[in-house]
Amino acid sequence: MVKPNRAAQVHKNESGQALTEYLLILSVIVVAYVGMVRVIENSGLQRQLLAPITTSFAAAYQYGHTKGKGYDDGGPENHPRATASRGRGGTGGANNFRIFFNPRVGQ
Amino acid sequence: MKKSSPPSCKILKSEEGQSTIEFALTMVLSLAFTFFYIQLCFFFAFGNYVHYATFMSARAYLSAGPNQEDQASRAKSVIVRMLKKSEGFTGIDRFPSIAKGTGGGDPAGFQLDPAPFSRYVRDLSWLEGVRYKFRGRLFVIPLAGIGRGSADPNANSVTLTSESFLLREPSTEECQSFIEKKNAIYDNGC
Repeated sequence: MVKPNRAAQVHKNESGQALTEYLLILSVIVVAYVGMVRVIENSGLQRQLLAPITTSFAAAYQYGHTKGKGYDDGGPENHPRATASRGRGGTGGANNFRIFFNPRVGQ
Repeated sequence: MKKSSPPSCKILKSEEGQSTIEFALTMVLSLAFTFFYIQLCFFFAFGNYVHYATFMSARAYLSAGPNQEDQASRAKSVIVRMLKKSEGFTGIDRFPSIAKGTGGGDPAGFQLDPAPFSRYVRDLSWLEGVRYKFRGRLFVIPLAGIGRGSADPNANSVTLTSESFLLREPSTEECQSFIEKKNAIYDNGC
């Protein structure tokens, strides 16, 4: 009597192949997604995307100018109230403008 | 008799649920952007409200009073009533889901006469008033882990500063002290 080859019988059964392939593809997709998130985080892409809000809008909100800088930000530049004269004992930088005209006494 | 195919093949042949899965996948992204714009609108509206609050606080600080402490406490009280939960809970923001006071101060975010204010330097004497700094987040649903990673924890937030410099009237105490130094007589001048 010939003994049946059990191993060959198991290989002929293809049930579960789709599930295995699905898991493999899923793992590839997950790895690709995690890699993409890390690249986005490390490249500072989100910071660049939000820059108009975090810098330009923030400056316009505080100083009324998108490139405005105060004393805390290395300015003043494009400041609405800082004195424009740096060389005459003033503390202002470039391109400052006065909302309230308030000339010095004697000028 | 025809042999039936295995159950796994039956599942693969059926395409039911594909659109549901695709919708679920895209819904996360679309909701993230939708809530981002809603949150941004709330944040901008709150920014306008803070400008009004600092202006009202600066007005309270400007008005004359018995002494400077009284003027400062009135300015603080306006900020607390407008931007904090109540006088008894000055550490809790009124709209914490939109923005919170930040940068120190009592209450958080509030600052009177910020540096480099100096009463005796003409170029810096105008910095007399109220400043309020607050921070709000932009993405309610973090997009691709923004703000959760260790690379930049502040990537999902915006910090804004509202200022109102209306200067300050001399208080009665300061006025009397000044007049006394001049050896002058005051009746209803202070």
